[in-house]
Amino acid sequence: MPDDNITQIRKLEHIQIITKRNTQYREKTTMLELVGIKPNGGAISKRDVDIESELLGLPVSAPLFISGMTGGHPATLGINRNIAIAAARLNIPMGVGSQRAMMENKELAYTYDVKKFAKELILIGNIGATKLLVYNDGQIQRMVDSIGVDMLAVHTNPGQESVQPEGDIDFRGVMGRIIEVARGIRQPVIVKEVGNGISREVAARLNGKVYCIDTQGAGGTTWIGVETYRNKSKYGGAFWEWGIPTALSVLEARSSFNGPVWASGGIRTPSDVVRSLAIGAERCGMAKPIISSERSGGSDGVYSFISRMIDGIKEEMAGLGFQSLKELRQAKVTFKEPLRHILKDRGIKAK
Amino acid sequence: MNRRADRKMIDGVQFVHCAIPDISLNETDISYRLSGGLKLQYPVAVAAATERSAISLSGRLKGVPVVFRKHVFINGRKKADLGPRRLVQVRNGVEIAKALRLDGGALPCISESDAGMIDIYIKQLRVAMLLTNSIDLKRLGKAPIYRMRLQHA
Repeated sequence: MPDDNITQIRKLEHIQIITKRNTQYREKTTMLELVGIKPNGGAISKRDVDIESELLGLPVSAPLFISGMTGGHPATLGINRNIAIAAARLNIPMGVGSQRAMMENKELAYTYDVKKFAKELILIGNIGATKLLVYNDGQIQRMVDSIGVDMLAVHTNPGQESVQPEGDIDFRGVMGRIIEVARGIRQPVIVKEVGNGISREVAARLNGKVYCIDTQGAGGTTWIGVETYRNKSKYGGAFWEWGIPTALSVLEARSSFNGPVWASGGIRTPSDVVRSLAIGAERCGMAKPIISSERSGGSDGVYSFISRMIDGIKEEMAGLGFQSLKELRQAKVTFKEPLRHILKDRGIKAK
Repeated sequence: MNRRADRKMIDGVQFVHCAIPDISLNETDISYRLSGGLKLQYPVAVAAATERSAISLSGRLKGVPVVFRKHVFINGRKKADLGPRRLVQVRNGVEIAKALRLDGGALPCISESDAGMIDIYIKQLRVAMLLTNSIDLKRLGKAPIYRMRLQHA
């Protein structure tokens, strides 16, 4: 079977597995529940809370983004279109899934081309880190330009690749290529994991070289788990709980990376968002709740879910007495065990 | 760190995931040297219940060390003594990696009933090495970890 057919089928299988099987971490959590925030005086009115921010000089209505999920199969166009329309109505950035499929078969580019439905959308492109070894900067530039992306996410997924029979398991030269591409293309580059988190050591090597880190830590969907189901893998199960919990990953990345750190991986509630922002994340991403709301309610379902999320964030901040994101980011935070001693063991000082 | 690994320690420790390794899974070197100088192809042994089963198992599992009462059998023959190495019981390849990381003197071992799983465990070990950017067991011994539980030595 040609490579582009394999990639297309895989895209569809991923959506089916994520929406129908339990692919969440079983024991490991995001550790966000171990973060405490000291209230900023008394509660205030929700109407007085302002959570608007800017991204690349463009206004964004909330410190949220929709993580890249899909594209590359004709059936995924509807999903991307529904999410894009809701994201544009709410003025929230949105990512598409890996654009590898359109690199292998240009005819599939339309499944990612969501700006035709939502011109004002801040769109985040997506390509696998190991694929940067295959394509040159000119090809990557054409790939992002062809669908008008504003930023490019380079996803790194050694865990997931290791469980795929067709996976890329040779990472030699990948870090160097990420840095070259970040210099070589016009759009800012985000480096993101796919659910196993970014460590302090990796963040330090990316510092000053890429625009942003999206942690995609452990505690939400495990892509090793998704691949374990897809391939009926005998050895993937041992890695089901592998990865750095999202809260720890944000703190690790924050300690050695000076650019924006985005939190994602198991972000499900307004509390998760508020806690992530308080420990240093610039914004928070979600995927699973978005795909679930899209599957059950289309574009309106996504719109309602994010609207409720925004409302919940404002409510939570009001209850803690924070009027703005700036105030929240200066909040005093505490850590419960085991997060507290892990930070000490790892030599990470949080604020 | 060079302390004795036990079940509680293995359960309570996590590797720090390396999202962008510099290595290829296929070039990871898992050869393991016993104190007598004998180089093992695999850093994990099968613990046999009798000398007879040790000989029989090691004859069937080419290159895999089988241990019975401190004696190491390879390819059906007694090859060496375990020396100061300690056997640490493990249940999969991630635990092999953890035992090797936590205890420099450990030789991870699996039960006879798991002997048929050895290839899967070795693949899991190699994946764990890729995900900790460890090209060989020496590097694995220094891979960053964190503890989920407070442990008092």
